[in-house]
Amino acid sequence: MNKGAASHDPAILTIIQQRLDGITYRMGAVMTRTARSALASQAHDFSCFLTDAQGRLLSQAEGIPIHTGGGGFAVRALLDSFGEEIRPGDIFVSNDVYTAGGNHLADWTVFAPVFAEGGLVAFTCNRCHQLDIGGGAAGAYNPEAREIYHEGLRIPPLRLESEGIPRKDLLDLLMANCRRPDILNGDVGAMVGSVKMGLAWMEGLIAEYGWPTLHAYCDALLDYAEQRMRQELLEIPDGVYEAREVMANDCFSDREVLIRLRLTIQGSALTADFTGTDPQISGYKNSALPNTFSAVYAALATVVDPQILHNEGMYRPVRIIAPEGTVVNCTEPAPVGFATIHPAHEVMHCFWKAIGQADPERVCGGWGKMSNPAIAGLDGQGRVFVLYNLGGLASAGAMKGRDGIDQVGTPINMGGLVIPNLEHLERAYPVRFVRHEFRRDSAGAGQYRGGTGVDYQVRLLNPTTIFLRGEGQDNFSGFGIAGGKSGAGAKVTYAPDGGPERELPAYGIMDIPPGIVRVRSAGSGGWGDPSARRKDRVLRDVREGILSPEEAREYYGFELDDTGDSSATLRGEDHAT
Amino acid sequence: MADSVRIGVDVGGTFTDVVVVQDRTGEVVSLKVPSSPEDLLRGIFAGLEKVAGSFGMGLAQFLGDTASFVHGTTVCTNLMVQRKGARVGLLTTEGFRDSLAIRRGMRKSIWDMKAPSPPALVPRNLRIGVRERMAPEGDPTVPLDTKSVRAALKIFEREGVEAIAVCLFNAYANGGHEEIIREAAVGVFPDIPVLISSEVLPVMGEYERVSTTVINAYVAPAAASYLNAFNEALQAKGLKVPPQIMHGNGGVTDIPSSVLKPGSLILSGPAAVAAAALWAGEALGAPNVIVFDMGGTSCDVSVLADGRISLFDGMEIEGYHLAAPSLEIHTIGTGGGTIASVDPGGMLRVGPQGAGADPGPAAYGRGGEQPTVTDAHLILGRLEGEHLSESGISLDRDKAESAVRSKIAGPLGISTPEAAMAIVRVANQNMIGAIELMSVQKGRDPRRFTLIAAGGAGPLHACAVARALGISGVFVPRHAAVFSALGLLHADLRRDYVQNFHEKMREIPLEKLRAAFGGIRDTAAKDIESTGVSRDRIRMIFQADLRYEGQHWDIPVDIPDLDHPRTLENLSADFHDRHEILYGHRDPESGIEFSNLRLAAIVPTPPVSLGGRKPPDSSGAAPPAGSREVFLDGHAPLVQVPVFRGSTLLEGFQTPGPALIEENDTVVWLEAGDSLEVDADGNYHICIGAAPERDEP
Repeated sequence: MNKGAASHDPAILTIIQQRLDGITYRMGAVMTRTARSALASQAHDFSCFLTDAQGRLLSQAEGIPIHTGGGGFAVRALLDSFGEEIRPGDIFVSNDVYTAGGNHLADWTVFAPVFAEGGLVAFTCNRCHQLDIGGGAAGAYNPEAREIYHEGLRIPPLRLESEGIPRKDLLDLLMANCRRPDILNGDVGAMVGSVKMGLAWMEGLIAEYGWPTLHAYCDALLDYAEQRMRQELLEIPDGVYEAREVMANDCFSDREVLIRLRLTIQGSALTADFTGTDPQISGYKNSALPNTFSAVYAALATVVDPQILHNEGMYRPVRIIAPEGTVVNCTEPAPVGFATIHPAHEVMHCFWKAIGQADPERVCGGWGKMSNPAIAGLDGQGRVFVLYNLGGLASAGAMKGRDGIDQVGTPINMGGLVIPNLEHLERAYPVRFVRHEFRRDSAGAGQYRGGTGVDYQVRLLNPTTIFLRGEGQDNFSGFGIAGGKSGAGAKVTYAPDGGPERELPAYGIMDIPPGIVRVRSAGSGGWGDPSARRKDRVLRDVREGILSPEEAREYYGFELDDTGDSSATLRGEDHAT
Repeated sequence: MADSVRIGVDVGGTFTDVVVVQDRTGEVVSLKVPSSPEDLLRGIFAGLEKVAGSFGMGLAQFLGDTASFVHGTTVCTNLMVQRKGARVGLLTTEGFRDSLAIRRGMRKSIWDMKAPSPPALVPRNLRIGVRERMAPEGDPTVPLDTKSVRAALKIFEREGVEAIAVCLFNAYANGGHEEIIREAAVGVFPDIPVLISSEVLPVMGEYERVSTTVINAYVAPAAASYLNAFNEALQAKGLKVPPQIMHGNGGVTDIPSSVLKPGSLILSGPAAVAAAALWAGEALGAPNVIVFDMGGTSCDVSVLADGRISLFDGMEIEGYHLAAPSLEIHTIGTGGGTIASVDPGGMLRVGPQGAGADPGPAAYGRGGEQPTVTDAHLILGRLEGEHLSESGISLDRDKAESAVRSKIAGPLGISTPEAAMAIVRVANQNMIGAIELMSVQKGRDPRRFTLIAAGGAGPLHACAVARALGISGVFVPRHAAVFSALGLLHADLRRDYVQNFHEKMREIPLEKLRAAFGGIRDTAAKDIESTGVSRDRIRMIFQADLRYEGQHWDIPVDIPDLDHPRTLENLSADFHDRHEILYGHRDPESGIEFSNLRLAAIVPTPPVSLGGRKPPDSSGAAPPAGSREVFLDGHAPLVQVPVFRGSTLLEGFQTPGPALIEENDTVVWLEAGDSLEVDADGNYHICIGAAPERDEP
């Protein structure tokens, strides 16, 4: 049974696992506290991880799933570029998708090599989403990009510090290519600080155990995770499960872009085959291989025991087939700016739909897709600002045993992204918030209902550029499962000051005068037949204004007795068991 | 009152600790009685009767001689854990009533898809928006629509709310509208608590502010009725001084003030440990101290650095966020009763599940079949069957062995003693991780600290934990098992104030900073004077929350002398230094901005001397009371280790490890290579030596 683990001291195995996680966790704390952008310091859009000298992921205790699953690609690209030339005291940076194993250009990765006994043994890494990286649009998302060159600065693996000496000329080049060098410089400085602290902690761990011993235990931890994953896969019925998802546009026209998954569970092995997925598109919703792998790994992690270590061993039983030239394995120079959201969201949905056929109790209903646009303009001091409108995020699908999670974020980070306080944003940017409340009747009905979206309204005080990137607009993005219903689609509108509210398209860039941008974010999918929902829960949702009396009747078969908001009672038999 | 006493009562989940110190002799009497969660006062008074009896007094006479009475309470913690707080009505700015439920989209464990989010403490139909708006600079851009306020209050009346919370958007910048609403609410509901966010927590960030205000309202009615009943009962039984209550900031306040901001009582229990750390640090002359207080179910870690324990605003309890200034205390689920298990992949885990007091460890013989840390110690010989019999619990070694053998040793393919050793080492690692989180992660080098081991189980683990962290000195207080309750007696009277202050360092004139602090200082002085303390006894500590322009987290930096002409320059320099210590880099080019000002108003408590230890019965060098066979590393051979009775050891007594010292309700495990010395008060000072030769790295 205990391949790997048995030959080792079980206490040390547990201790080393905790020590490695402790290092990544503390690296994350350093990052949170020192980064400049709200994305990093408040929204936690970064991940710290450790790999060995081959780029195998050892620990990612602190992080966002979409970042780290593909982290090994970035380390392997670094090794390909520098190989034997990596020296103690070096710090590296990269972001490129096609030459450096990146997800999208906005995610920069900083690496510190760890040496022991004269050789390279590991890397401490931090991958962080940057607020702006130059390119065709402020804010690192250029919805009009047709090539990766339009999306910002491409950074193949580069030496940022050489044997302890910062390469100021290189840093100047990087800073000269973005719109907010002050913030970028602050965030990169925080990343460098965190990997250096991680390096020191790793050196401490190595000094304590000696690298050969530590290395052997790292191997055992990978074996352990593999074994746990295989045990879980054995519990999922063997079979071939097919699923499909679509993106509703290619960023330039309304047309369905299909993602197909053929998932095979055979014993303790899993194959995710995306053959049949549509060719890469001209817009920026293409995913290169590292990003697709990350999305599959993230989805997989949600359907198994959350205690399984999220290291490279967990991925060993998984084979991913993604044909080149498709939206899940695009080739240069396809733009990829939005890949970490779409098609990553669709990839995860496909995975859940497929597993749901094998065992619906392992999966949740679909999460509402993201429709909140980014906006960019000039603040009071004439500096460029970018607002992602994270207050307009969608909700998470229901699972057996719990309702969906009302507004929470995107599945690619499992809701790990923290929405900034709107008061902070109001003080920093020329905007005033009008509304940020749940949206009635947006949750998909079910024995466990989906999560509700929000009605989010922000008044822009200055003329602004708006970057539209809606996927869940007017379609049911949060699918229901096991008999549950889908959540409501999103709506994005704009009303100039004194003018009427009108719907905005799902893609493109517009310059807009001051006015109110409104996002009604998507609801997520319910789980199980709505008629099995407990009456008191239906009544609670009616009383709380989450569910209208009309929908209570339509989906749950309950009739409202009273019109009063909070003293209402429901007529009808409770079929819940 | 020649023989006046000070009393500390610390109510925990399982036991209520009562400690009494006689002012004249410094003699300490302590006892543990079972807590009575359904009627907390019953357990407290049972303990008090008993302790009065041990002085040969009736309760009335005993309380009449009491010079100070301090109470640490779990009443608010229980309300949160059991979600049994008040029915709260919440008023917000129209359009923002769901901030409380959205909770910034935070999920506690992102990988655990099945975990539901805890329900909002105020149901949505009781979260009502009113028409008004403040700009971020504090100008009212939409006047308060009092009609909408009245309409909301009508709904609250109909719904029978028991407390009201008010949190308007941007109210940190101007609380005017909140104050008007409070006046209206108090008019309609004269008898229920009405809390406004601009008073509870006047800082930017609508989620944390609303959550904190709501938690305060949620616990307010029950806290008030408990504390008032407690007070009345004590006065009725003869107490002549106003009892003081321990707060999460590590200070005490009287009951009328406690009732106004009861949220900070949630951390009342663990905060006593920190107060004890402050006292012990002072007594030891050690400004840098790490305390780990390991009881039956959990371990609380707190750190005293440069003579201070830092406060933070990010406390979370049961998934709810409380941004009240609280002592930084990190709690992990590792105690004597914590369960060890082997997961399906063959990984040994210790905790966080515990066996609790009932059934407790397998060795208790009350039906517990899961092996615990206590069972492991028993197998290794560090605990003995009869030792705990004073607490009415005897330990059954066979049951411990059978649990560890079947649940750990068998699945891992190792011997039972090896499995027991592995359990202890993983438990140690849990504590080491918790201590690292509180030290290394915050830029503090644990090697510069003294480790204080407290709680019933702490002294069993202290040497190994210290060695792993490179700590050379360990202090085990003689009253380790009630260390926390002793902290109550040493806690200063303390109030913390925080106020929003958004200014840039390079733009602000020093006068403006002084004026802002002047306002807070007046409020603080008035508050404390109202409790009958004269102004000249109050010590004020000033701090500014600073960050580089554009950062979103603050670092609190002390302002030692507000009157110094170079206050701003010094503050900037100190901030750069702090930033580098904490995070490894500094940015001298960047501007610095303020976000909040903080003031701590402290009235020191007269020091308690515990000098009066009864002379030990024995004379001359204390012989070991006996010896027993102990596994040093999980492998044979067993080693005969001397066992000492703590009560027989004289000042200056020394012994090298390995050795066991049995104290009331605790055992000190001195490892090979370490040495121990007893001081005049009967406390233990351990010098950690080089790692003993063994296979454990």
